[in-house]
Amino acid sequence: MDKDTDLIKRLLSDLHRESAFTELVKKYKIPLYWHIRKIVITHQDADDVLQNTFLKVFKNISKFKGESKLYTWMYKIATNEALNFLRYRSKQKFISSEKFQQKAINNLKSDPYFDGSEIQIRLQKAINQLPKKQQLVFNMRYFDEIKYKEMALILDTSEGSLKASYHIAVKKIKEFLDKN
Amino acid sequence: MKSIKIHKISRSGFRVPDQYFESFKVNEQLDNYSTLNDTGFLVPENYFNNFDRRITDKKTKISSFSTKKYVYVAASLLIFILFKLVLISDSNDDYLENYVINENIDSYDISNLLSQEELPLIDTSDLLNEAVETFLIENDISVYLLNN
Repeated sequence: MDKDTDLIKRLLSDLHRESAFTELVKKYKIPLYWHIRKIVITHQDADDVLQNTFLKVFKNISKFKGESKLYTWMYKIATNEALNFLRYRSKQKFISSEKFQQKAINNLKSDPYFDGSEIQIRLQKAINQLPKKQQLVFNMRYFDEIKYKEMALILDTSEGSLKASYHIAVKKIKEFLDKN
Repeated sequence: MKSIKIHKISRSGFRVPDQYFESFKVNEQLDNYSTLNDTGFLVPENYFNNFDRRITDKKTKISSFSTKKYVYVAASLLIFILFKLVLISDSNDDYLENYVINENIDSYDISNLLSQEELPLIDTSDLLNEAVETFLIENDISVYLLNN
């Protein structure tokens, strides 16, 4: 993921943009999908957000200044797209985005694209009771093992604050799992 | 008695157990739930293989959406949205600006204002609805509303 310099050059060139974009999609569709999926919960929603994310990347690639890594920039776009999507869908249903996520989690048992156990559903419920930032930090650290340094660039927060958020999130999740 | 200057107190006096930081791992707190690092989420068969083709198709449609048509649709939509907002403004001059600022309106909200029945009022006969939707999602229309 660190060696994207050549890919960025090609993405910025009119001649190679198409092929570079195909390569970009190949390279990042899986990690971005799973990042998004953990936020929006269902496959259908994750698919919508993933497509929007790549289209946004394609349309805005000329604005990418190379000050951050390409994948942290894309993670940032994916995170914003997923959160905006939740906000949009929950507004449509006149409920909060937390409630919207909760409903999706409650439907996991009958979701054909979920084969987790009862405890995995409980973990999703435990994550959902956290504030949004703690949810993001927990998912990125616990499941994806993203370094705090990179997470700080994606979420525009200091590493110290992220460590504290993760620590609090783990504590709350443990309490929730012990209680429920 | 000689007062102690604060800059001379270089240590807080707090201590931690031996090897605390070396052995510190937050994940260990969840050790009893060791199966949890897998979410249980699945994807349809061949989803990732097919995704490349689908995103390329979608991108091509957007690329072929010419600037002229883009400006035309943008202008039509802006007029339509302004008209809708003015209708609900109750003749208050500051209402529109305040509404956009205070309600934190974004392109998702604006696309929400347009019902399926109202969309055909805009002449987009030769355009893909998908492209119109993409325009609304991709552009922060509130900026246009405030500047015009």
